[in-house]
Amino acid sequence: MSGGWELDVHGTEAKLVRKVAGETVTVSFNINNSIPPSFDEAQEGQKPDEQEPELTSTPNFVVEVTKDDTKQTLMLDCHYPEDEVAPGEEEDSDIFSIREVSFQPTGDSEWRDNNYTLNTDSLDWALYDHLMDFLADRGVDNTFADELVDLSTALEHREYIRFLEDLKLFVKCQ
Amino acid sequence: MSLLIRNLQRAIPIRRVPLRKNIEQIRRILGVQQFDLGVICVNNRHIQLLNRNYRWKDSPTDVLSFPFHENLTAGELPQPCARGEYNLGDIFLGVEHIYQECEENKEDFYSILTVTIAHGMCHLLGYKHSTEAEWQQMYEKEAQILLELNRLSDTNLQPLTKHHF
Repeated sequence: MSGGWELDVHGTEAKLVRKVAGETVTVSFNINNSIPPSFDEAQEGQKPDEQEPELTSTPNFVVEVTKDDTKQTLMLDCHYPEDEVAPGEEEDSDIFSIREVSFQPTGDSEWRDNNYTLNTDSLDWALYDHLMDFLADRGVDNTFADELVDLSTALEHREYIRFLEDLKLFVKCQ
Repeated sequence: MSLLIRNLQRAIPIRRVPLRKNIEQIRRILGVQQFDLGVICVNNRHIQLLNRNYRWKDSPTDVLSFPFHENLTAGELPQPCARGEYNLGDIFLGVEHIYQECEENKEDFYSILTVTIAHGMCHLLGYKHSTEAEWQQMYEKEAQILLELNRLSDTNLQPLTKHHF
């Protein structure tokens, strides 16, 4: 990942951390269930093995921004678009979107349900743009989101291969 | 009514807040705040695909406008019959192409972006520049918009169609 992020991986959970200008920015994601289902219907005239789409991992990710002098962390739950892009067409959604925003006590690993959570579905678009620029100023922009897909896909593939190897050994055991 | 900005590309960093501010000012000047508008930032590949599919030109361009109300008379605002018709349409900004041209011509990117948006919005309102007469009409409208914008923001923006004919 470009931008000076430190990566920490524990099983399927990954964390990217960056410190800048009195703030700590953490991006967390889990590669489980991160590969969206692809179209089942074959293209007209296409043989089953031809031009299968690449499987990419597009996990939801949570951005935490902690200012060093406060006890509150701003948490932004971000998603990739769910609609699959047909071959020959271009994406028509933002590369990623902010879905929910909440303040959580710094150091708490669990998302508390009794803290107010802002859902961006009905949020004023101008404020939404402020939040996107806020993230971009901290290195979470479209380039970051694209690189996160590459990282997550590589991690998911590694875990998949590892799982297959473990499964092979397990099945062989007497 | 809402202005929806989308950024589908990573080639050029785009700050949404100043972009929104400029577009909202142009909407106010044109008197179209009550109409929905979409502004989508795309890269060269995407704008070239649109240019090829809709204008049969296989090259990137700076802006493509897709009006909701087609065949508008230039200078007249749409007359919606239903709530769903309060929509001007979408403007696709080829931000990568615009940035490259700005680098070549040593122009300010956000200034040219603003001028390009004004141009695109004129297209949504029926203005064209296929003939010299149409160009003259569109140039005057762009100049009028930018004159007011320059007054509000102490800038010196010039119409995109300035050197078209």
